Amino acid sequence: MNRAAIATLLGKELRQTGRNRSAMLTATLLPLLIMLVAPLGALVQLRLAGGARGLEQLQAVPLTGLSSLADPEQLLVQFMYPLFFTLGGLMLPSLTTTYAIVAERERRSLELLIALPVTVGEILLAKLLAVLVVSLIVVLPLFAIVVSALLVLGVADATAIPYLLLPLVAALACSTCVALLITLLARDFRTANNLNGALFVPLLLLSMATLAAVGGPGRTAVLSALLLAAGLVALAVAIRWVTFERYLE
Amino acid sequence: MSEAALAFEAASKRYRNGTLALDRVSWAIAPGAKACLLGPNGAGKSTAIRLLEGAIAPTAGRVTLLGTPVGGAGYATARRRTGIVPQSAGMYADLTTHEYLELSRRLYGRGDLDDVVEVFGLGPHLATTLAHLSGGFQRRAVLAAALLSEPELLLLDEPTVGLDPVAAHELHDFLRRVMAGRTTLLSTHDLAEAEALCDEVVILLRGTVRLHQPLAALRERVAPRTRLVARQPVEMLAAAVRARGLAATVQDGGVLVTLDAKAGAPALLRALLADAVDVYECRPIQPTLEELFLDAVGEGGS
Repeated sequence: MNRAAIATLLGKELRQTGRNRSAMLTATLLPLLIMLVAPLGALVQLRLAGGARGLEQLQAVPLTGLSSLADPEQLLVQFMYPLFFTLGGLMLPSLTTTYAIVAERERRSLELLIALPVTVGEILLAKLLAVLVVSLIVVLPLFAIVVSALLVLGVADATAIPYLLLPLVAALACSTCVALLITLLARDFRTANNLNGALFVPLLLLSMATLAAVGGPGRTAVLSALLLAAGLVALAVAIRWVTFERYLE
Repeated sequence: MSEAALAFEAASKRYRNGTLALDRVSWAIAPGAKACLLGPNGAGKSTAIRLLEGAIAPTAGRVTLLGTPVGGAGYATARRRTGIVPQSAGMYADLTTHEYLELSRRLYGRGDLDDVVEVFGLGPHLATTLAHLSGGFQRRAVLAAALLSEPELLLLDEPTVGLDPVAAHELHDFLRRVMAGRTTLLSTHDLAEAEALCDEVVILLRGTVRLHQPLAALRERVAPRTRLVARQPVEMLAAAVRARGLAATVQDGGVLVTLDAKAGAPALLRALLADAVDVYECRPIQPTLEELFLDAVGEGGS
């Protein structure tokens, strides 16, 4: 892999993504709702309600991860927030990738890049790096705002930072790898969206089940490990069995 | 003997869907040659170009570019010495001509942007996005990007397909200029284009090399012909020619005679004039590439 070529292609991708209003709107609006409005809204609602309505039912669920949460605010921080961040981390790269990669394939502009002295692997890597960069630029400030609010309001201490950051980063990595697989499989937007849905829902259910089933502070570490494993499986399938050549077929 | 500019050595390519696009083909282009790659749809032309540009790998055999195996050590360097014009690529609506040329310059690692902009007349269009250029200027931009680094080898994949005749003519002028002194492989459906720009022909048919010859040698495969026109009706002229044991066909108000004009026409003309057949036109006919192509692959491409 030629690093200089990848850096050049990354610059091109970032420039193009920045110019695409709909891509930028999608990249910012959904994470804004999922990772900022929803978490802070839930916290505000809880404070205004001033109680633990419904917590008794959750504590009655025979799953360690839920029944061990005695405090409603801890339910938010320990269960709901990791879920929100995982959801945001899983959604954003797949949406951005659909624009960055599938669109290029659909409109045949990929031919222009292939004609230049770069490999298909370098082209795809640059696109996925651009997706990661855009995702990080969007999610990290949102994450910082929410965590700051938790710290300022005394809902969580500093240990919440790695606890919440870990599943977010793992979800981004997982989603980027899954996005590569989708990119190689899908020839158009419609197929990409169908595949996104088919892969996204099981990952989301896996995340919910893990957070509900695993108790204690290690629950997000377990979730992150599972997401990274799922990402590695997608990466292996993409490179080993699907192969980059499929991108050109 | 100097190293081939590009070579296929028993190279095969079978796609994942089972299609055998190339079947153990072996052919090479010498440095400095201007070769055209001809063949009907599905013959394997685009696969050959894809293999050379390193976008796909051969299933068997070997493909080399400027003496380096494709995908092997040193291929990246060989690739930067090669300019490629892709077949009817989609154009970016969010990248200007200048940005695209700059991208090409950076990836090749060299090149004089001002120079190609001037040569291809792209100055007024530098701030225009590629998708908003006319078809002719889009091809100029792609050609300019391929030539920025002054490559030794040019791979042109149907460079004029989809262009109107004026734009295609302009592009041919550019191609003639930039192909001078460069090894070129031109993949095309346009036989007139191939004839105008190339001196060597590779004909692919169903994934195999049907023929690889210099254009001059290919012409020698077809029997020489002479066209005659007389004041009398063409049927009478044809009958007079046939009466002398020569094959003759009526075409476009004249008679095509299977005859080498230089060797046989004077005697034939003397005989016809003596028989009061007033021949007033006699000229040798060069077989067109289309005729040579059809002769080589068979009328039905079989």
